[in-house]
Amino acid sequence: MPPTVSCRARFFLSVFTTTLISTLVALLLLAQTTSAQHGALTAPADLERLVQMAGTIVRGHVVSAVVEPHPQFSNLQTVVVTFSVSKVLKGDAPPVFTFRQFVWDVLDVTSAAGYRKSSELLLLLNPNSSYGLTSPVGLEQGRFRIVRDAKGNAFAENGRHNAGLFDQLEAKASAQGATLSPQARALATKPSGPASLVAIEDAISAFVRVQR
Amino acid sequence: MRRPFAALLLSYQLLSGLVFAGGPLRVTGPAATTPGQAFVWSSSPIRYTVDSGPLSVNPSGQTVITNAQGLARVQSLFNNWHNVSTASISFSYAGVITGISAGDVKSASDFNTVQGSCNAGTQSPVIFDSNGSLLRALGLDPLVIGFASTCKLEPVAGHILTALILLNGQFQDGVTNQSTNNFELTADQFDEAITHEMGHFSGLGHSQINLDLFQSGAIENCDLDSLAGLPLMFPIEFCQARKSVGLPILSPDDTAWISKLYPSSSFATSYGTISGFVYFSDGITQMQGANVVARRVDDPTTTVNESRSIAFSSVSGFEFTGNPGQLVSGDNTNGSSFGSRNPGLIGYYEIPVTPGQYTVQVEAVDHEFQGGSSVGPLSVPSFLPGPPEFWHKYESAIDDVSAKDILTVTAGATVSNINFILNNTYPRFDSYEEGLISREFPDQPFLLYRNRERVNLGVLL
Repeated sequence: MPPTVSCRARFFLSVFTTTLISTLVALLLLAQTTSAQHGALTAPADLERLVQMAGTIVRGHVVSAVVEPHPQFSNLQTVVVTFSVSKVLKGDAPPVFTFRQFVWDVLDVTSAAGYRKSSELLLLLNPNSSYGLTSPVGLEQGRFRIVRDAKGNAFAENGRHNAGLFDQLEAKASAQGATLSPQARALATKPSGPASLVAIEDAISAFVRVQR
Repeated sequence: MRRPFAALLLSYQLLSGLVFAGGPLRVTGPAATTPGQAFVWSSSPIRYTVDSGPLSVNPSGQTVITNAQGLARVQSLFNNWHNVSTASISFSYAGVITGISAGDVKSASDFNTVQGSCNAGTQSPVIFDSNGSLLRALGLDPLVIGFASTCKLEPVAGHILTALILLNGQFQDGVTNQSTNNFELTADQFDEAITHEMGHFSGLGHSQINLDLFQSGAIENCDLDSLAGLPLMFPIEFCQARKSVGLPILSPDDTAWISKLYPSSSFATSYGTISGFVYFSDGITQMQGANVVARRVDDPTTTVNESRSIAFSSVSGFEFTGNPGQLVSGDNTNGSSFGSRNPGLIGYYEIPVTPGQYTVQVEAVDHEFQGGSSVGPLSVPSFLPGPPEFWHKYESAIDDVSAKDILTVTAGATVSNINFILNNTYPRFDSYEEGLISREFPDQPFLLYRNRERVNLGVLL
């Protein structure tokens, strides 16, 4: 029988202090994240493809997300996202950028398709349709949540854990005549999981330069 | 008051008032006669209308999959769910889509009209976007294989009245052209994706089993035992098609949950149930949003690893609301109307399983499964500080997470009180609480009490 330990609640608290702090930090990070929409499946794409398909690539914070009917098609719900842009990697975007995304499921209506105020995101957005609608390329694949560690290093991860995102990255860059930074080249060694934001943005910029 | 006693009373209240369970996409809220029930279609067959145009047209404008072929394929894919012998659900073609010219949905305006009639409860359309142009008009892209949405619900009885599915036929046009972003899926891959959407159409939510496969970054290269246990209703499609490697299109978990939502007469003689609660480390406070997986004990006499290939899951608190708020502040006013507000359902799980021997483990829902990819009631997954933890009869906050006891489940029986106490979670009470909190290895199994009498487990341990 293992040893028995009885103690008061205060002791219990102290035992778990470290866990509490780390848990709260993790929860804060999770609270910033977003995701794709309900009831859709997408085919996987790598970073080069996502960049090529995107009309606008921006990093920044969600200022607001309001669900409202489409102005022309009243039966279609949309989420209007106002985004404070800190960096533009492709296309043109003003410092405060607004886009409208089609929302087809009632659960996404109540959650504003997962866009939460103050979330820091890297968004690879499709070109606007003729009805003013857009969405992240490949839904969950083109929406990267950004988290920072205690030293301020930023990491980005999409809704697929970046799985397959960097497959044959160097070969594809080379084929297009793009030059990757050493940090971006290092992405190719990551099969999945959070990746350096700097490296991802380097790789995106390299592809954007040659795709113009 | 000593907290354990209060908790035990609360737990008993729950056990006496538990309601119908499920792996549902959504469950009824306070407006319902019985909150916490899965939204299901009220009767079979479920009548759907279908686009009158071709399913797939190539960039030259040639029809690749005709309307008749597309209709036959839709009927065949619905049959994947209908053919589950322990489920009583069927689907019926009700003619072409109504309300638009000739029933062919070609434009955003057409889609708006059809969505409106679906919202009004008039029809449940299956739309063929033959070349992806409709998706582009809606601001989506050629990577989207299809989507499903529920259009109209009846919140008192908990019924789905109408729903919609859109299929992107561009994936079946026989053309792969990277420069025009025209991608192709095999017929099996496409069929799986659409069958997944039909699962949502039927009221099923996502399931998480063999998560390590997804987290490893495997793409279309999954080992067969793990793929066999991977639910079709997993939030992301990333493995090779099940059918292409000789597996049935539905996993055991898919089959169990469609049967749980729509039980046929043979369900009770084909499935048993494992149920319980997930608690924080205090052993008192129920935890919402933890994924619980029951795995068949591996049979060493077979070449298959049954612990990977035969598995079933549920999420703790799946009948409770995911809407933020609590008893003091009340609900978030503009939040979700779904899910029971009975706090006794927090942390409760219920898993339908085929008869046999099982281990049960609890794990976090993957942190990327949020919003549209979510598993269970929470839009943002709960954080679990430790690795997956097996259940054993001496559960405590400081036990060995790998220690496990085997449950034997028989058809028609419920093995209840399979309660987890998570390790290393933060405390749920403040420092001014009265009473003693015990951190000890129990000398008796962790059980609930009814009027201070121990509840029998009803299971061989």
